[in-house]
Amino acid sequence: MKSVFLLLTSLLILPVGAQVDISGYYENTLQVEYGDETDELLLDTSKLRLDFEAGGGEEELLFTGNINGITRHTAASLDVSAYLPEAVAAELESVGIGTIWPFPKDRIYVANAYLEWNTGGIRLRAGKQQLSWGPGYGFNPTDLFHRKDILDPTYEKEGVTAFRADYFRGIGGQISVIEVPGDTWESGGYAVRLCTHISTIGYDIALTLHQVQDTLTVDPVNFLMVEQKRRAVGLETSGTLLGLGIWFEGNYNYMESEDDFIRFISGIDYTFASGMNVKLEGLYNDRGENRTPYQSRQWLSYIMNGEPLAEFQGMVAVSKDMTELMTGSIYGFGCSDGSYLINPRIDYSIAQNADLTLYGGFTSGDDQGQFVPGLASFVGRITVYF
Amino acid sequence: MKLLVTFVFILSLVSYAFGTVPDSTSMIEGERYLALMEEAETISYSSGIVSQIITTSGGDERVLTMKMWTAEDGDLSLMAYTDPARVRGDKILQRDGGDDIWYYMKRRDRIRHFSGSSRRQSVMGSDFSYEDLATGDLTDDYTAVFVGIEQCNGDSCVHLSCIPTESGPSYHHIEIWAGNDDYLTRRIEYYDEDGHLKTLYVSDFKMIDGRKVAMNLEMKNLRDGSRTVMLQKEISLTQEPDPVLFTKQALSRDLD
Repeated sequence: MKSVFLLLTSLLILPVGAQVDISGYYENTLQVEYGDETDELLLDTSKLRLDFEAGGGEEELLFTGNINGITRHTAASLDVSAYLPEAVAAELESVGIGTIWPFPKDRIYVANAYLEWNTGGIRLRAGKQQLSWGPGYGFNPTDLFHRKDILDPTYEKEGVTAFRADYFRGIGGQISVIEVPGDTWESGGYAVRLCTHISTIGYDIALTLHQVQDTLTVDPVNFLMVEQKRRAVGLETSGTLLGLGIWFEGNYNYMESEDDFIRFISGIDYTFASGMNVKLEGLYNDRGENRTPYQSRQWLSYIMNGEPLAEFQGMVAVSKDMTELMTGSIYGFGCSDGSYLINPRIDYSIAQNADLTLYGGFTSGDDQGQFVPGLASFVGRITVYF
Repeated sequence: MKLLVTFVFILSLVSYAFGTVPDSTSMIEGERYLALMEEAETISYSSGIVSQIITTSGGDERVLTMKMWTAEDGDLSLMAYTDPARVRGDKILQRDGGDDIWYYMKRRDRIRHFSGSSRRQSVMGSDFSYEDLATGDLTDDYTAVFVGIEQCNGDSCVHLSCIPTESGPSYHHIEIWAGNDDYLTRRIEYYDEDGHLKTLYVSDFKMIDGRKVAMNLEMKNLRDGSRTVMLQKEISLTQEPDPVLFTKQALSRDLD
């Protein structure tokens, strides 16, 4: 809250004549969820996103970012047992963690706010910013800075406070150096990314190096986050082969206090003459398990940090413009543990400045699997842009 | 089998007699006219502002505005959306006549690289696909047959029937009408496997920096009943755009 106040103050004290462009959107999301073992769950959430931008002209720094305000009109807690096998829910209850998780009814926060300076082929950014990269759709193994809470109703990742320097050369040549401050230099996060575009074959290729403090796993005894150093060497590529779009994103992770592991995704896509696009993507997750039941600590890591549980996960996505203003799509996910998730979705432009999104989530399969069966959710969202 | 061969032979004779099989003269003429059209339509570089007005079959209308830059005879293009707010700041970079496409989503500060077949997708829900907007070399993308000289919107026009080459667009074939005096396109009919899909009408020619340029492109989709008009609000052919605009660096940069 203090940061929002400081940000608003800094906007107000900008010199007279400095123009601040404000845009953004308001949206309301209504979610109804049914589970085999749980009561009907209703979530009604409003979100206001304010984007601001000032400067950026010649001889000027650019200041940009956005503030999000999220208000939940319904219960300020969530029964996570709907997403867990019965035994895991019982264990969490027995160790005092519980399955009714509170969350803030109102939250206002600075999602992104940074300064940017461009000169020639060099770009410097300082502040809270998006550090996302990688061609993966369902999962990004080389994104080690952002954390996705699978219970968060918003689909946008919060920025990461960092200093970033980029050097651009040619069509797609880019060297990025990132420093994410920690309490000490040692505990900070660091990344280097070397990217190029090979015009003769039409491929983007990138090499990534990371060193971060990993807090994604949970201790099996005390259920506290395990903090350990994680170093990773990654590779990304995207291009076309025999008319198919192909992409790969993965890394080898050197862990301080657990086994090293490999994680990668690989995918293909094709657009038919009708405009229908089909994507297939597979995730290999060496950190996951190839048999169930998963341990409670792994379930916690999955729900709080989005860490996948299964060793293999596949995604099929089909999308097509149904009319000029409406796109229909269906996403199917399957895990090597025998569980499945289907997400049908419709995006409809209901006005020049407004979109309606309808989607559902339906799970089936093994009752110990990552997608606990019997869950059905329906989501409606209206977004008005300004 | 003998019956089938006889049938094909008779069909060939009938087709030849009625002129539906192109003779070498019409093919040579077609290639000559196609080269003339390519020369007439090739603009080394440009910059401008374009409004894209999408009208659905139900009469709903969506208006998008973008800044647009092209270079290297149209092989490179950058579109930066300025309106509406939903897409403001999003950018589409095309290189190699649309063989390479990158899409930048400003709200997520994220770049996606699309594959070749993605050229078939609609641009922002309009009736134009990426490959319709990519101005590659006509002579590389099509083989042409001269059909005749016909009247088209009051102009005397050359009519060509064109079949895409292996590296060309995904259509089954297109029919082009171009002015017999300036060789600039007036109309294109696009056909897929199921027949006539859509028609592009090119109009409102103006002299811009010594070149005759169309200010209005209207694509009518015959199956959906929708149409999209691309209006050239501003255009300049005098200043060569900074080459950096056609690199990934420009995608995440503020271009105002």
